[in-house]
Amino acid sequence: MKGQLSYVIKPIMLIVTIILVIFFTFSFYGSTIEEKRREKSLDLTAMATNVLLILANSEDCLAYQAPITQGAYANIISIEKIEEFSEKYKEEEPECARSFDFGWRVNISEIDLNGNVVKSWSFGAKDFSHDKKEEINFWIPVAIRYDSKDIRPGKMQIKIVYGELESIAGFFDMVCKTKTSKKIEISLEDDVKIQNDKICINNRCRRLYCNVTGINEIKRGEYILSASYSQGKIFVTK
Amino acid sequence: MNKKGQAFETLGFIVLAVAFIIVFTLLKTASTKGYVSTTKELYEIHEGEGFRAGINAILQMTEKRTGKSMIELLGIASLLKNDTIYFGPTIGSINITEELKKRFDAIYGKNHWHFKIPFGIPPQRDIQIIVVADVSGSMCDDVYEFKKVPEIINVLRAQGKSVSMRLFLLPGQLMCCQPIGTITCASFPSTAYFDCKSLSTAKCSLKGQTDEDWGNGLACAIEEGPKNGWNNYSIKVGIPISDELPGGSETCTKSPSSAQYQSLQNGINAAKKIGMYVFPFKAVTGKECCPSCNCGYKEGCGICYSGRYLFTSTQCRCDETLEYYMSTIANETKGEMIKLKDASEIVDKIIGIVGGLNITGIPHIEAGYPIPKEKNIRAVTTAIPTPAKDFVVFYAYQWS
Repeated sequence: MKGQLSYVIKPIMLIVTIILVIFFTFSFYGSTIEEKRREKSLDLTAMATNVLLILANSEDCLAYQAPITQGAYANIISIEKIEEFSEKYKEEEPECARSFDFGWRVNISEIDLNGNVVKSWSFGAKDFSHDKKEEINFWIPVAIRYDSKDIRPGKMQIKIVYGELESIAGFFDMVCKTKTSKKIEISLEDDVKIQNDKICINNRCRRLYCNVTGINEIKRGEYILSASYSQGKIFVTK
Repeated sequence: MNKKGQAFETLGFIVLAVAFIIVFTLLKTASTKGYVSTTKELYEIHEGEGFRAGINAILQMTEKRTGKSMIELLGIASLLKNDTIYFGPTIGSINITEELKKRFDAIYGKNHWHFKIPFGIPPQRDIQIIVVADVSGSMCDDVYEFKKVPEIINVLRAQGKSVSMRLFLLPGQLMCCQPIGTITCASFPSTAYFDCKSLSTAKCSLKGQTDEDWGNGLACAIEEGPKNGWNNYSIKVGIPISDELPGGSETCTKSPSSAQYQSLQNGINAAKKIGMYVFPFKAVTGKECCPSCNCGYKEGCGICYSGRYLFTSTQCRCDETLEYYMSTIANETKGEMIKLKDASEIVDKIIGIVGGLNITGIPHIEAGYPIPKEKNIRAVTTAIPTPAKDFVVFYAYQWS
């Protein structure tokens, strides 16, 4: 009888132990992924504020710069720069506030004293990942400067996105801007198509700062990508 | 192994497994809490930075009619201690509280903001008075009364009113009977805060064509200004004193095309241009003692000038028209017509005008909606420079 009980309990305990070990392993693995996601989410929130402030306060971006003192005024953005940016950066983020981890698009609206939108402009990434992992929308008030005696109320709104397309495009843009060689370990859930300075995933495309050579397509899967800059182009290998 | 031993072994395993699960759950909860609080902190940083950026932006926005920024207008308002600033007849008045309200409402929406700018204990505003005196003979007693004014100015200053006055005499000569004699600017003592100037020596274009032309005379006196010039932020008071229409009461016309009315209009335009309050003093015309205006001189009804005792019949006939002229300029400039019953009232009336002026203005500018108690309130404090080269503090609050 004693022996019979032991024969029953021991296999059960073994099975329970195995289940627990599997549960803890998966939980631990899941927690690491979750931590990374949260980290990205926090980065995204911080980045949204940073990008808006850089755009509104940096004379390299939209801030109005006094011609005599060469000083920028906090949160006064120049109408000439808004028009220049909305023309020049129709499809990609301006370099003065580019984030290599995320993609963003900004919408600036001029409002009247009743709060109605009178005019609006936008610039930044034309498209975003189909399966966005994170997306945040923030805004700050700005003053739109037409001339020294005509500064009007406005709002600057940002949509900032973290996804596969933004991540891989950011890697290529970083290599292009830093003019170095870099490697990245990526896990792709969809196929990537590259044509010159255009990169697409699921028909969602972004424009890159440099043309890409050496690769036209990356199938879904896990890879270590190497990219190196040379004479205005990026050479990519798997 | 006996049954008891097996039971303990099983129990031990279960306790260990439960302990593992509890520890794991606690760790996960702590991690989630940390994430939530960091996210909250980041959102608050964003909201705080956004609000600070918003205040900067709002203060730099310009007002359409003046082209001045909100921060400039606030600086001027804080110096004037008045949120309504008059920018002359073309632009008119700007209420800075209303201008800010519109911008805050447009950006943050109704019921989401509040601001306040306390002025502290401000220095009192200067009061600059110019008097334009008719020097026709019938005004002898009235103009002579101004000899007492320098002393009164000193008394008012001792009481804390930063008042100064310049008396302008219209071109002409005031030939009064004895003991007054001829009155010129030399008849008045000159002090640091009172002096007299004859408009016959003035360089302005609208000098005053006659010794009663107080409309053009006022325009000329405004152009000449007080002894030390106009102070941009002072309260400006103009006092034309006469018993005749500007340019004379030979005809009692109210026609806008008449020379008298043109003179009045010139005075109104000049006063409005610098934001001057006009308090015309209507001197005794004779109507008070002789309603028919057909009287001769008698004691208390008429005046002695140029060596003769006369009843002021010309002035008497235009009494009602003069009242119309004087009340028109007073109404147009937010002043008041003062009807003198006797020349001796002049000093008291000047004291009354100075006493009635609001020289301290409002204690603060405040607008917006009541700040809720159970909300996360974002606050921004910023300094507003004033034209007097000091600062007032702007407190702004915003909530979702």
